[in-house]
Amino acid sequence: MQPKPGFLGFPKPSPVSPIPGLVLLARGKVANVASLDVVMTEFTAYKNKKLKVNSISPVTAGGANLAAFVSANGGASYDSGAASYMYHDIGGSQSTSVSHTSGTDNSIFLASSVSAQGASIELEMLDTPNAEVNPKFFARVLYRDVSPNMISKLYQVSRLAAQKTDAVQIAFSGTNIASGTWELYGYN
Amino acid sequence: MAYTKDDVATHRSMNGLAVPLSDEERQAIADRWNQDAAGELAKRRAVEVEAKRGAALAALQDKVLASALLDPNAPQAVKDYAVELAKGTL
Repeated sequence: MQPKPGFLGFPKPSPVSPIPGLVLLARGKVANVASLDVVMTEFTAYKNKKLKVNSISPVTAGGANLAAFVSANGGASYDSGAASYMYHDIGGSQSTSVSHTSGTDNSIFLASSVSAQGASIELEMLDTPNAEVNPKFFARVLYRDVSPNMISKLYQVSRLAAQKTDAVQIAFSGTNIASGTWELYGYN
Repeated sequence: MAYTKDDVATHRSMNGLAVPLSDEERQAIADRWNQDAAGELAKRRAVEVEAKRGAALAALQDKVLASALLDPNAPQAVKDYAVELAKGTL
């Protein structure tokens, strides 16, 4: 019997017997939307997820900040309260040395002043089905700002509540998403 | 300029599908943009950095005070600084 096709015709990964290695779970592209939401409720067999977002660009370049928000209710709502996340980031550009910042935030903050060339992101979400621990995330971001500088950032982030992670949202602040593509991978 | 719902796209993308946003949802997004534009994020980060700097400075001042009080050979400038610290004028 042929496997039941999943999103965009991809073979639907079994929730019971995960395939070893890095498995493409879903992918897509966005154009002129307020946010990119990826719901992962059907992929609980994969403990860890990696979301790759390629050249996500703002409708209005410049002042736009880019951030990620996670959800524990399948995307019905996303956590964006003050001090929802604790982070440490290491950043730099082609012209400045490495800098560190840290603190608490209302989002997984990814980039600021993103140019029309957009930002590329790798967001790793660890132990996503586990509701007993504070979820942890790694993010790598590379983008051109409007200066234009090439900015690279490495973030380590923890959600400050014990909960599962079953959806993630990427959005600019102050403008909509003009374009971009994405892939979601799972691995154990 | 304050953002309104009309600045927000009419759809979001969910797993590759365009999902319409209600007026209330668009307004909620505009409200979040306005909060960010008002510098809430930057302000919160600045407060955290300042708090860390304040704690580090207080620890350093305690060390200066202790060394000046315990060491009879401490330089006069350090003793003067310690006196001012003790008086709370710094």
